[in-house]
Amino acid sequence: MKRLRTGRVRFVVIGVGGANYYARSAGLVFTTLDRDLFLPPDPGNLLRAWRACSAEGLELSSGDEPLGSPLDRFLAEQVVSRRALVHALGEGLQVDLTLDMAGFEFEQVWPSRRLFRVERVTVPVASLEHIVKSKAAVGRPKDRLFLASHEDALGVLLRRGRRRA
Amino acid sequence: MTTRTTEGKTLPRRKKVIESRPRLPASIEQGPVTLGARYRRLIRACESLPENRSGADKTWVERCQRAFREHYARARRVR
Repeated sequence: MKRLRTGRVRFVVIGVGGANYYARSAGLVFTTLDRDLFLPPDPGNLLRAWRACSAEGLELSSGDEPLGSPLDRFLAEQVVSRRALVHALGEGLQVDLTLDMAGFEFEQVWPSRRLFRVERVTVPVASLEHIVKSKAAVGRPKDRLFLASHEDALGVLLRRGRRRA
Repeated sequence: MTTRTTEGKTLPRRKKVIESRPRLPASIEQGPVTLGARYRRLIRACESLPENRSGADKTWVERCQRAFREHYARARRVR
């Protein structure tokens, strides 16, 4: 994350990992093994993201194929034109670099982002409303399960918070 | 829905608790979902919490997520 920020990469965290930043306690943190980063369809920005991931030792792949080298602008343009998903894999960590967020374009999501601090690094996270609406727009079984559990958990935690106050 | 204990006694409170839970369909459908008014209200309330304003320290969330990953990375099949 730090490397992405110092590499001037524009991105927002989305998906379950993004929703987790809005959790009020560990009870509302959902288990997820990957991290979804939403990037604008900008080849230069994508290239900077790839280089930041590579510098951290993550291996880049798209589909089942490694992205290989060189990581150059031509390759980034091809990936942008296809809006292909690129995975960055490291030790126990999977980062998905996506150019696609169901229901939204990057420039719609960017102005409403929150900037949270994580160990002295500022992390841009999409608004919870955008994250949830995107999951609702996709509506895969796993999204539906997440939405049902998330609504339930939000209700319980906000009720508890009111009682404490 | 049974609300009887193994001894066959009915527990009214237990019945109330169980019946208050949402009933999930046997098979989960696929496709876009419309968010209900309650859920949208909860999201707005959650986003407006002081701890969810820009600048909030979320290091603890990152630690939780890291702990999950490490836990599952260590998991081994035992039988």
